[in-house]
Amino acid sequence: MAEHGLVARLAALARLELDEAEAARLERDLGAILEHVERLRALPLAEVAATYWTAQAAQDMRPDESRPGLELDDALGCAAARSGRHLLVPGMREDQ
Amino acid sequence: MESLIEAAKRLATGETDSERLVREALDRVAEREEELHAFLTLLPETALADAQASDLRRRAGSPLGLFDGIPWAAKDNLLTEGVRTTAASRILGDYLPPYSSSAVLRLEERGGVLIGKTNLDEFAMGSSTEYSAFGPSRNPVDPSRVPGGSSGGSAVAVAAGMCHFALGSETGGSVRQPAAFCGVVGLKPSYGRVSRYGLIAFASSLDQIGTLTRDVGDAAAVLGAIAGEDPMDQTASTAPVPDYLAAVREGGRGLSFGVPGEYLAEGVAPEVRAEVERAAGLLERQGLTRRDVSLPHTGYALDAYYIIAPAEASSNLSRFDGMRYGPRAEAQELVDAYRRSRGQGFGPEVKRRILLGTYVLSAGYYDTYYLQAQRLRTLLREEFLRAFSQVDVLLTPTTPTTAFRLGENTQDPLAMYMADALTIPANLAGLPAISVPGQPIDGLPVGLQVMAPPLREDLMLRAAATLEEVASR
Repeated sequence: MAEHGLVARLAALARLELDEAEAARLERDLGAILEHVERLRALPLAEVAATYWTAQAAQDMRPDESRPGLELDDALGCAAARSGRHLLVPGMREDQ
Repeated sequence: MESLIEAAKRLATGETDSERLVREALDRVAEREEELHAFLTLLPETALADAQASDLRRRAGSPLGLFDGIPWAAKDNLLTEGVRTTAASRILGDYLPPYSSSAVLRLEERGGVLIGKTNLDEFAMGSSTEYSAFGPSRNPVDPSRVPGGSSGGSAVAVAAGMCHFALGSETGGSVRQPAAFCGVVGLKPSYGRVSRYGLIAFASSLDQIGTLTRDVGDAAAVLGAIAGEDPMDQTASTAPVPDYLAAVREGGRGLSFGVPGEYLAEGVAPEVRAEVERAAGLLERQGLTRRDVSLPHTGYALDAYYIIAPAEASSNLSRFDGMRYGPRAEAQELVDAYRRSRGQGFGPEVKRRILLGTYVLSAGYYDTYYLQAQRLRTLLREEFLRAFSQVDVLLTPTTPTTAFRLGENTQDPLAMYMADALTIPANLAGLPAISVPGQPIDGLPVGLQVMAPPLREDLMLRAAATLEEVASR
């Protein structure tokens, strides 16, 4: 089992609402997964460089010039709500 | 169903036409789709219209390529302009992408006829297709068993003869593992060989688009069509694309191969081990030389993967919040709208990985888990490169077992993750790898995996072509 309260803290960070049954199951699952990867922590790798990418021949960046992109209606076409040129979202505070 | 190359030959000689091929594919879908659930979206009207257009081009005498008029399918995490794309998640709703992925476009430009979008584990996170929000796919060889995943729908569609080939995607084995379970060929290119533009991101340093085909020749043909540099993906390699079909014709004679013992260790079924040894013997008889190689840190690859992939996923999936696409949950405040939309929109495996990724990236744990995993990745890659200084390719099993039953592993995430234990190392190291069917075990397909050095798909295909010729005998 993961430490009690860990799942709630992570869910808050990840902006993920969980019901009680989900939270209990995830606490159990995370505990088991973290226990499994524990042996990796024990490997003496402090002197080894990290590999974040394995790309062989990344391209040069293209010139920093503006060029046509998505049309506004295409970009906002699947939004839950919009107002003119903007996405419409709930307020940051209840009084907004 | 015949291979893509055979169908293209019959199209060229006028023995058949594209409309007939598409109607045959759709008939096959009608026969088996209710039982197997390979597709999330079918496109019969546009497919028939595209087929008729191809037939008109052919009758007009236009020079046509291999793919013109051939029915194919795409995993539903590849964007298709104006065609519903869900990644098998409720959070995307009925998302209609405003553009297509580069791989899809390259096949469309060659006249390929897209017949539908295939089922997958939600956001490609899973090994059985049981984590699709729209219900599981089933293995055509034994429908009580899973087809593997996450590209399960694509593997099923090819294995059941519903299309001539399909695209899938890989992060830790999601093309090769379902190919092994369903008895088809699954190819994962080197990292960077195929543009990722328009592939819904899961773990960007690992993701690659791959192919599911009836044979190795078709895999070479499809790879040749989708590979190559792309101004829309900065990580796409600028290295020239070799003639992969020529590599298949050349075959593996004269190559050397290794069978690393770490891939035949505890957890691999004895029958699977025996099948690999049998295949190794057959390759030797075909003129390939076997040498001993060792990859000592293989056993840690799964651990590193389940740190790196969730870490990247937790970041990539932060964009799905109910604001720009998909349904938005009712809430007065913005943060509550995020939390509820994501809580209602994501399924159990995606939530598990988001939380795991959030944990390993959080203050105090980054060095302990994430950095340690990336260091292990360096060791794995160095071990592979050392092995490839001794041999041209590696031969291993694709999966530790044959296909498991539906429901067998859904309550035990670690057991589910083990299904990818032998495919994950190639993703971490950025290598090309292919799964070729071996001799079935108790009537169930089994996959033989060939891995090669980065960007040496030609060597991999040469060995795989010979393996295919002898292994299923």
